Amino acid sequence: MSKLLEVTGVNKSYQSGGSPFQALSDVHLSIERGEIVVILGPSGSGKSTLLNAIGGVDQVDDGEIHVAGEDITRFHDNNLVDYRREKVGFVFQMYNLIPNLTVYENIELTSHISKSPLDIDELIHAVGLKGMADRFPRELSGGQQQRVSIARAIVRKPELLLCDEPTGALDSSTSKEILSLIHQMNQKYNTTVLIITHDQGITEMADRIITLKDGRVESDVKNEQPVLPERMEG
Amino acid sequence: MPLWKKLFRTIAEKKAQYFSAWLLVVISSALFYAFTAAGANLVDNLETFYQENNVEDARFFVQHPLKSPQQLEDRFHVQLEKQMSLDVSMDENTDLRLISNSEKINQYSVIEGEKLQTKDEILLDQGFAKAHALAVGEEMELKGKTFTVAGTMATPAYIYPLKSTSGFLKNPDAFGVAIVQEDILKKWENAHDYYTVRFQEDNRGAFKEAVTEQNQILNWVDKEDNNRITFIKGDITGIKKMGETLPIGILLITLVIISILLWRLMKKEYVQIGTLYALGYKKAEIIRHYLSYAAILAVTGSLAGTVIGWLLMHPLMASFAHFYNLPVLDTNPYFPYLIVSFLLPMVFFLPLTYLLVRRVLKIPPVTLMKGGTLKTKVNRIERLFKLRKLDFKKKFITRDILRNLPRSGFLAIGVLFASLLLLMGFITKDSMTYLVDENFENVYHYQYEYTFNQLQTGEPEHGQAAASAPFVVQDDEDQSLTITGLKPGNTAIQLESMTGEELDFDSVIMNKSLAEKLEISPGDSLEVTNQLSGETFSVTVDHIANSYLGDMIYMPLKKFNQLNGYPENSYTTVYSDQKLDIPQEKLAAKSEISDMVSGFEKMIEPLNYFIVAIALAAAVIAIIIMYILISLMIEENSYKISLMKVLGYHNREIHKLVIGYNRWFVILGFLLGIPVTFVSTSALLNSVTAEMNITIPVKIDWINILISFFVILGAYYVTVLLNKRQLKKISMQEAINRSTE
Repeated sequence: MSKLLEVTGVNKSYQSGGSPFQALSDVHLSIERGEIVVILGPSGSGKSTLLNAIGGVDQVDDGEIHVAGEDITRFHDNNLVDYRREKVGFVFQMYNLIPNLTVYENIELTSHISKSPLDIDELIHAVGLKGMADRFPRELSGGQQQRVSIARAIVRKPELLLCDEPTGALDSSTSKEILSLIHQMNQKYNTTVLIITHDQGITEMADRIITLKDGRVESDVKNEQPVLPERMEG
Repeated sequence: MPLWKKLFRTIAEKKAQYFSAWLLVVISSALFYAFTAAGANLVDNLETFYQENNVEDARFFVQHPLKSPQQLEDRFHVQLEKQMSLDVSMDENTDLRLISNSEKINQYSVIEGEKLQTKDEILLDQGFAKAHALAVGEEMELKGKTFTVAGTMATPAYIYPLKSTSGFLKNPDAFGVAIVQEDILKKWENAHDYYTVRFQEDNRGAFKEAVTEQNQILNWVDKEDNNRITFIKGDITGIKKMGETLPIGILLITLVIISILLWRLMKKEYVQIGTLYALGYKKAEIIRHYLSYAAILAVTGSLAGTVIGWLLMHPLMASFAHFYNLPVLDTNPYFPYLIVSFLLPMVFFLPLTYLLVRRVLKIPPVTLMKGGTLKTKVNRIERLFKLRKLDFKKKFITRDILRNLPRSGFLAIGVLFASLLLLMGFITKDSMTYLVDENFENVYHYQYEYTFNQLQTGEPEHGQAAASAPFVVQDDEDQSLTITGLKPGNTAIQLESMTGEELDFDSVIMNKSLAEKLEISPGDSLEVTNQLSGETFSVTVDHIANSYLGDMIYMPLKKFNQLNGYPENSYTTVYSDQKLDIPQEKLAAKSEISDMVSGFEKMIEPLNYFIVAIALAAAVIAIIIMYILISLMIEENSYKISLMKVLGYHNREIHKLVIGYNRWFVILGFLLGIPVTFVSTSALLNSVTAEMNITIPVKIDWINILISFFVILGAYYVTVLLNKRQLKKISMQEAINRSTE
């Protein structure tokens, strides 16, 4: 396996209530292609900041983030847009679908700006939403909406799928289904998956578990025996 | 108190949107107050001027001087005054009409300088004095006599200094009026006598009969038919109509904008409203808080607008006083208009915003604290459209339009309103140009018109003979018209039918202006009464001519003389291509087409500045309306925009998808504006010309439509430019941090 992501000495601070808050401190980590990595940490540990920086939606103060060999911290705005467009897929906790677009059209929102997208109908079938292409988000359950969100992220065949608490708003059985779907996508399209969560249970499916605390990498552990999501406990 | 602080801070946060809405309130209040108060002041000043200076009710001239005017005055309880006038050529192109210093009727008011004291002094109308740079104290020579300019004056008989009572183009370069002492005119042979009369009772007909018993009235013009006196009324009607309609339109648009702003604000503050409830705030206090947004805009906007309106009223009235020959005008604040101007925005805004706020407060506090309920139903219209086969861009835009339909619709209405304002200026100018071109270039094919003060018989030495007399419609005495008798084969006046065929004067022809007013078609008859002789007869109209100047009927001269009881070969007017040497004492009037054309050009000149000003105002209003609406659209779609940024859309792509389609609504608004402007300008011009004897056909040059289109489109792109920063500023964090739909 080759390295897809390498984060080196990244620092990021915010102004919070008039005083600086160090969100990330000298973060180092790397992720291999095709890996499923879970970044674990409590609120305020810096995991969302890290995800945003890796996703090219936030800038860091210093350090380097290499994705597929390119240091995205040196990118200008337009390069970052292209980077998000070509390399990354986002899955959000609250799905973030556009309410007045149908399932098909929400997925098309990303396929439209992709160079070689997957076939939407096939993908809808693959994520288990057959027959729901013309439904609007508000006609779907939370789990179904998250499936659309995953399909929207996967359609452009991103190298890196960034999932921000993908099961945070779902019950446990739906959560398993969603994690299973993420796993399937990882297997089927060889997509590298980075999941941030504070849910310890998700770590079972990960190839690696990175724990963040107070903006620093506390541990980086390889999971020798990842479990398929449908077999996970809880 | 803390709520007050919140209110001002919210306004400060969205200052561009609130300021734009405030500006619209200011504009509407300023226009309302300036136009209505100026109109009312003008009506008052005009009435005072008419009363204090004893405006004539009619003027006439007779074949022989009246033998016993005093007797007529006593018998009919009228004021009757003989006056004298003489047109003196100052140079090849300029005539100055000297009129005698009247004692009873049409008394003059001095605008600048002093009253006439000596026979060597002269008072000029201010337009003429300015056009010829004649200052008070300067000397001028007329017919070999030197006069000193004692000052400038205004007389109710020449508020609009036209050479002829039926003319409509003043030209101070070529024609003016002056007052001198009567003795001067008596000494000059060519001076012409006429009478002015003021009635106290409704006995006009009997008075005329009594005059015609021993004499013949050669010309009679009622005040209502005298364009020198009535034209100003049309303009005042126009200014008042503008003052009443334009601001209401702007206020309605502002009302919708403020409602959208408030609705948006309250939706964003659901949680805060719920929290306020939880903290113990009463419903009334919360209602008061949100109503305050509208109230602050209404109160401060109308206050500033009324002050600006007051300042604007003065130059507006001054330009009226300058365009018409009016004395110095008194300006009253007109408290009813002042109060209405101040209260109108509040009356407009508060009830609707109250209903809006109440609607929001009907939502249970618990629901509000959760940020409202999620919509689970799909809009029926959205469901209706199956767009699978369209490409994504079209699909996305269609969905967006369907969702934002009220906003986009309202954008079109806003643009329609601005286009109406813009096109109205152009239509007014083009309509007047058409009217003049049509008449002067296509209808009148002569250079000089000589009207005799007595009936002439035989053949004129030069030119083409004709005869004219004023008539009223038998069933409607308020409708006056002129019948002109022309010889068949006459070439001085050429008329075309509505389908463009040339009409010959061997038939009875009515012009379009009169036909529209009387709703007459070819083959219809009407009874008319000659205002000079009292003769009544029926006329059957054979053709309608495509001409709008004056309310005219043309018929064969022979028939005209026969119906009016005039000698068979008589005539009163001669049309000629060349200047004729007719003694002044034989003439009642003389006019030159070139004077009228240059008069028109003179008159149209300020209209060009007016159109530029209107175009700027329309563009500013369009920019304000479009700016607020597009800025609101960006704000309402900020989540979607933020998400699109995260998904890898460039700003220009987002702009194309989320905002770009609005240009079609701008174009739609403009296109709808064209017929709406035609209808409303037609109504406005009809009300303006209701008291004039012309009809202005509504016309527009396609070039001007194109110019207007580019002004509106330009305004749209300025708005887009102004809003680009707002779109750029939307952070990706909004989509990332979103916790609920």
